[in-house]
Amino acid sequence: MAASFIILLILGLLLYRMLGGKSKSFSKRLESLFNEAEAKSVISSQQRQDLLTLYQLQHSDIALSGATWIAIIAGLSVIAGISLIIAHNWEQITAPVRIAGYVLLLTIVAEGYARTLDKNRSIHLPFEFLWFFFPLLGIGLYAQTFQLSGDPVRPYFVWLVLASPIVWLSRHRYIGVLYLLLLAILLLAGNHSSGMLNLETEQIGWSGADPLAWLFTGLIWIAARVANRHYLPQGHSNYLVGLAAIWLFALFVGHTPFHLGHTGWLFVSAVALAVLWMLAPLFSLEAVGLENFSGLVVWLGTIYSMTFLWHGIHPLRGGTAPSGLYSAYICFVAAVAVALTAPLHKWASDHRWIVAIRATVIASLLLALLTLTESPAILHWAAFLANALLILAAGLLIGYGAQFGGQTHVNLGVAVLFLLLVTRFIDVLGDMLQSGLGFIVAGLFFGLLAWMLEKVRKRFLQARQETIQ
Amino acid sequence: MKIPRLLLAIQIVFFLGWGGYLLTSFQDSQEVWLQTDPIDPRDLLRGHFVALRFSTLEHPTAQGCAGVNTADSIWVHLEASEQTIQTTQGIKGIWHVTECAARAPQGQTDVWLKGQRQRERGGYRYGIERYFLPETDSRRDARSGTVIARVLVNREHQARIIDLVETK
Repeated sequence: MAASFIILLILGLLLYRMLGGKSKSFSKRLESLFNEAEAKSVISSQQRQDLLTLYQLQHSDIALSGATWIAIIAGLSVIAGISLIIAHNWEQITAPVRIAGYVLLLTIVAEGYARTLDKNRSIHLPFEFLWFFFPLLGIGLYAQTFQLSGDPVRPYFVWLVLASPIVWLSRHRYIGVLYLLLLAILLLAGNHSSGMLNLETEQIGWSGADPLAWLFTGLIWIAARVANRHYLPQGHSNYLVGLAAIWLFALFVGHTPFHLGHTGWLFVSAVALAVLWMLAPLFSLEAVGLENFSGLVVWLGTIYSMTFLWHGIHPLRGGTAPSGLYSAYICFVAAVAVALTAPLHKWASDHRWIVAIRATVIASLLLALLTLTESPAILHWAAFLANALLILAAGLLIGYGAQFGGQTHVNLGVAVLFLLLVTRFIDVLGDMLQSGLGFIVAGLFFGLLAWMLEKVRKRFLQARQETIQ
Repeated sequence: MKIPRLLLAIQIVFFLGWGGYLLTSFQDSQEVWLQTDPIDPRDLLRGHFVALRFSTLEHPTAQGCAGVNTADSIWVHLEASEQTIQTTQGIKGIWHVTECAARAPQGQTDVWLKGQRQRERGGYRYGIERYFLPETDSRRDARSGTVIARVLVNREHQARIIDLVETK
């Protein structure tokens, strides 16, 4: 009921705004004064127009007089009263009345949207958002009224289908980004939970897979691709690549026909997908300097996770599906190909930097292959090399930031170093933290670390400043 | 202006059509009473509800059920048993599953209920696993064995729960 109250309140305020409740009497009096001044040749027609335009620009926000506030409070009280009456008698309101009420409200919202199409964004945008969410409200109302249970994903899928034309008509990026986000949530949650999009199977492989769930998943991907192209062109393809990487990795982890029941292959696929996320969008970038930070952070995260191989590897239960294994091969080969061919000159003009970045990325992919073994000695080596690689990557970030990128790269490099040193300190000397002396040593270590890293950070940022000057 | 109104018309047709179907689809339906276990409440989208588990429907064990219990859809035959329960609305006879089929029964006037397989946890779902209640309703705190469900089954073998009745 609280939701309906808020909706009524928003509708009331919007209608008030649409009907010109903004200090109308004052603006009319001002206009009348200018008209009279023009008639008496005090000001010219052009001056009258300029003054009115200036007034409208200065008072485009909502300006409410004391009387208007009282009117708003009176209106709110009436709305609150109506809401309470509806809430109190909700069980007595029959299904046809609820349907009629909903359709009426839907019509008001959509009509408000249509009538404000060429109006100020501050008026039109709320109507657009309201209409976007209204089908979901209707589905929820019907489900409650007719005791509909069953598929928990279908209502959200139907909502996004019904709302898609609103997204397509919209001129606002917010709604496009929100739609993309909702599609991503629907994919990641729906594919692994009960319902029409469930891709999980009881047995390894395709036996028992639901073709319709795959079809609908494909449709969601098409919608996501179209929305991404429409609202986030050029340098934002990394969002879609990132979503694809997370989605594929979730298929590898979940009990889907792509399940990988081997920790090593999960490491290989994670690093390969992170490399694809970080570098593949470079092919579609036109402007130099649009770095893909989300992909970079995920790639660093996958190397960081390999530093824990020192503690051994936990064998997974369940077999590996052939489709999953072939997909992991494809991801790995694609990641190597992208690492070798990515147009890194868009990141750095210096050839030595390009070679260094390429070599580090390929090293991470080769390092992931070491996790395919079950030999403890090799896994120890893999952990050691992952630490070394992470230090190298942090060094490259700091150096790159000092030479080309700026503060963010330097900060990220310092953060990686800090995280790595703290993790290893706790790893090695964690047992000491049970004693008072241990805490003193840890405090001194972290203090020294913070001081040193801050010094490194400042030095490189200063170097960057000097380069610019 | 034309496109938003066309879109509105489509949405209105969708909601009126769906509403009309929901209002009429259970007009000539059979009423049955089923034993149920309430499990837990709440849904962000639709409000307060009691989640219900129909053990005998979820994993049916009657004649022919073992042979079809891996199919995506199942049809279970319901028959009034001799078991009765004293409720706040009088004595009610409980219905039980007597048979399972992997295909829709043709030309039968008996009560058959269609279930959909739950892939991730096994068993079948019939669309009657939730019952929405007002916030203050005492049945929200119902425990196993204290309520039975009043369910309508239409000619398309779909079910709709219409009441949750407390036992005495």
